[in-house]
Amino acid sequence: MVVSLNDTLRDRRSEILAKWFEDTLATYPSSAQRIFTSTAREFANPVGETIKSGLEAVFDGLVAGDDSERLGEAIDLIIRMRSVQNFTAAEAVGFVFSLKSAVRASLSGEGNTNGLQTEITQFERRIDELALQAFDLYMACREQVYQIRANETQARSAKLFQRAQQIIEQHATGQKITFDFNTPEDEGGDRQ
Amino acid sequence: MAESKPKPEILAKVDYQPPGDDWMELPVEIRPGTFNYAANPANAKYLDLPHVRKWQPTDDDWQLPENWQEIILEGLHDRLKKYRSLKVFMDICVRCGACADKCHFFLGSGDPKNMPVLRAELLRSVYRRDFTTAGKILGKLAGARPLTPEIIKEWFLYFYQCTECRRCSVFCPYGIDTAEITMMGRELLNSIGLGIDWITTPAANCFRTGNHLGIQPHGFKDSIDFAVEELEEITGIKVDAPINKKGAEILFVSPSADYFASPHYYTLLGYLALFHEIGLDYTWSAYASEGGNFGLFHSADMMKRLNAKIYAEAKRLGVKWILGGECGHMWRVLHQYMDTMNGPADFLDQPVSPITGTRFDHASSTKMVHICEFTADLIANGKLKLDKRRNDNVNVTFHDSCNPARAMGLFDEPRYCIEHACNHFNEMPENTIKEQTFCCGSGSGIGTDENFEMRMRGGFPRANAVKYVHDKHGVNMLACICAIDKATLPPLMEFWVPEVDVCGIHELIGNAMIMKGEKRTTDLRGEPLPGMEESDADESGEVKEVSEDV
Amino acid sequence: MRALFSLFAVAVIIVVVVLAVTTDAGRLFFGTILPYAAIAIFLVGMVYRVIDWARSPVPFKITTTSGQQRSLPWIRNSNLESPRNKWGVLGRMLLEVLFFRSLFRNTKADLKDGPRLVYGDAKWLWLAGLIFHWSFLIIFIRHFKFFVEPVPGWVMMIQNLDGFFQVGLPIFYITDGLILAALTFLFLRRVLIPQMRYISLAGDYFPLFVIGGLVISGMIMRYTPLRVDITDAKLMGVGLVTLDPVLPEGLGAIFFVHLTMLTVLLLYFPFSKLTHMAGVFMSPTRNQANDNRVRRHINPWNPEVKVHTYEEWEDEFREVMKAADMPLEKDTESK
Repeated sequence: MVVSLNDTLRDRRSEILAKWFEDTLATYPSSAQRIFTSTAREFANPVGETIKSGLEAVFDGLVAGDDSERLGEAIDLIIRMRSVQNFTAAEAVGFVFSLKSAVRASLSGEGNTNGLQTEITQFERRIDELALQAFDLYMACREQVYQIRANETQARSAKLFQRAQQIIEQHATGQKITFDFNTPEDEGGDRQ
Repeated sequence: MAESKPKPEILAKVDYQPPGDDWMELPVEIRPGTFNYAANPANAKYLDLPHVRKWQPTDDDWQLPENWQEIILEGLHDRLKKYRSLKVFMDICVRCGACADKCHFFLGSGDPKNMPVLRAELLRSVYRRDFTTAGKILGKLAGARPLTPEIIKEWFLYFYQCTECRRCSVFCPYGIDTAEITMMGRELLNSIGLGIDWITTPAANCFRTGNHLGIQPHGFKDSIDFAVEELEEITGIKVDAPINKKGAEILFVSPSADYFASPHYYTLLGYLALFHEIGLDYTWSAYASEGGNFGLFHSADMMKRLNAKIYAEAKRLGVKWILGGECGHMWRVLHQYMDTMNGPADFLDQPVSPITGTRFDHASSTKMVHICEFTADLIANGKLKLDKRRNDNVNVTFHDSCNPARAMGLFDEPRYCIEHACNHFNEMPENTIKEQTFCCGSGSGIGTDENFEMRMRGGFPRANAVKYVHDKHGVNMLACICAIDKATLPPLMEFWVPEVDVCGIHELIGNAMIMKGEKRTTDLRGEPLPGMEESDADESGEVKEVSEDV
Repeated sequence: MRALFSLFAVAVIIVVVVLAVTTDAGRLFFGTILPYAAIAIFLVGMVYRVIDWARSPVPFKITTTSGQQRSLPWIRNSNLESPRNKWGVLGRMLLEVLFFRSLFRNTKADLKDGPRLVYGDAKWLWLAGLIFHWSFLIIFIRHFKFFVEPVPGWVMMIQNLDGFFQVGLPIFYITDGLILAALTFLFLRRVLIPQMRYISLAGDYFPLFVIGGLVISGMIMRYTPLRVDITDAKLMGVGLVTLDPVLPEGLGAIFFVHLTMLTVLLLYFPFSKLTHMAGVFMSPTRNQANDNRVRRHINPWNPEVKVHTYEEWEDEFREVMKAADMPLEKDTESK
């Protein structure tokens, strides 16, 4: 009887996902893991819930052979989250590779996986591709962070900028300026 | 992050465990994106703060004053004598852990020292060592530790990773309020010259000119006049916005961001339109042009210094009572501190709405009314013509700001306003609103650029709940009544739920309100006003079929 | 480690007691001297604690509001969650002290994957806490029968209720089982849940072990062959209370272990987190009304601070204000 890898993966979905989830959570401090794991309340535990549902979607997408666009959507929120947590780039996306070991561990109990070797290699290649994609997403999130930071600085005094612009224009046309931005003894400003 | 070298063990395994099982052993790490820059010495000096110097948290040596330990311990002793809250909270925590998963920073980062109980233990451990018998004798065994420069760094990091939102206090069986502990911690840090710029500079500006950006009186007037012009362009109505007008009935105070920043500005337009429409006899003040009070995030004394202007100005102008705009921490100060610090306001009258005649008995001593209370009363008495359809382009959810929620109990008034101004209103899940509301992650003076990643983490629980109502109900507008929210929720949304925008309640009111003689085709943001797109053509300016809300 | 230390400390105490009470001096010390000292230290210590807390004023009314404030007449105020008056405060405090209202908030969980024991920790914390404290109180009251003669009717009533199910001989008290279960839960969650283990100090385990020792030794005396003669126990109890201490011969080591666990608990009480028993009543976020804008709260040390007066402000900005046609108190010319 020939069983395809995808069928096996579907059969062992919960086992593999549990392992992958556990490995991903292991990147957080131990004192936080329990809370991220245990309270399965979406709103009281957004990090745990995001990882859990994200991993499920990614796994199902990989098994179903989804294209990279859909896989990207599935993994986006996890990467987004990890891009602003205490991780280096490698740490932030490293959890993707843990799926390989989770799958291997699950299949190791299986007596005969020889027939599946090619499929396993192919599946692992898809994981590698996903990891690269995750890295791209990570970079996009980081760039977005800088973009938002720039916008935010502007929005904080949006109306002042707008008014200043107007005054400069008035000045150019010879009108009187009645506006200044001076803050007290503005020397020695130390904000970086 | 940039300087971190690749670690091969990331792939090798994932049995990564944080060092030790003892939080006292955890090293303090000043990571980019998770701390705030030190106070600008010039501004600190302007406020006569102690031990002003040029330093940054990234320095190895923070140049603590020679007798810093003495200052801290004496300061702690002094505060234990002045605040029963601190003394009781230091003694009675049983570490039941109920607060652990209630902090948005812990939920978003997993950093154990962001559990409220541990944040308090940072201070409590020092308290035990020097102020309790058990701590003196048993030392570390009793959870005590000696005060070291490392601990000061830890305090600086974690007392500026708390937004004083008080969510943990709601769940604590003894009502232990981490905000109170953080406030004491910050006072102690400030006593050895360790303040942050985002608090010190706005406080200095506010002290000098009257507002956080340091805009001088004529600049303030210019901003208000500018808004009046813009409102005229939008509605065709020229409203009156008096400044420093003696003998006005009401003094109106709002956070300065309302006239500087976006999207606050549209709320300002909403106030101006509303006051015109009901014919309110009121005045702005250039001297007290800031309702916000960054002193709250600095020290009780600083809070009092900045807050003093409001009553002083009300007295000078001879108004009857004071109306306050949409702001979170401003209202914590006004509701819980102002009367005690700078009262009694016996020179003011009991607030009565000149439009409806309603006596605001709940403000009979402080004599200051929240604009949502004021507006809800107007709506309930049928004084406003509101066409909800004009807000049909928005599907609103309401973010309870921490301070109006947990320090005031202002829940129904803003909701009443929204429900009468909008057709589409959907609440976020129960355990993320009202007294259980999640913080924006940027309150209490830590909404800084350099602290951005921390803010995104801390705001994630809030964003996650918004995402839920966005996905489920198509919510595209997050209404709030806090200037810090209006500044920091937009970037939070842009990162997590980019389809959702942020507005104030009086922007929604301003959009829905039918003004006498108005000619408008756009909302306050200059975008097409639903149902009004063509009314420009017939020149009548009237709305077909007005639904009046009573 | 911190748990082991506490366990070790309790074990040492038990061994010392068992060895000591083989001598008359030991029996006198653990049966009379130490109990009296403990009661004195407990009373003085707790009174001192409360007075010490009370000596620090409450400068601000910092109520944590968990419900709708009183504002407009047609908006319903939630008097128990955001008290508008002292009755509301009283109700809020009673809910807090008697039913652990705030802890109960934890239980509002929308369990997505269905309720599972490991997931519902917060709910169990509330329940175990409640069971533990109430059982302790009932057991404490039940013990009155050892100290007063005649035994008041209401004490007997509580005792009869506690033995309602009439199981076993002697009748098994429900609270004995409940307190043991609650203690076990409270201990296990501290050692098994990583974040709990992380925040727990030796001082969190120690009282659990002491109370555990107290309960178990008490149960051994009642339900096992090491049973202690009730008449002897009562003789000693009444003796203690009437300041005429006696130490009947029949009281074995297990009785002294039981008594000493209580003694240690009393001694430990005023110096530890157990003071939350009194402290909860003094928590400023819970015991004040949310009536800040109605009744002015007085801060006894309200400091004088340096402010920026209007006059100073106008002096600084008079010229620019004048140029912008803003109203002035003093015109430049008149200066």
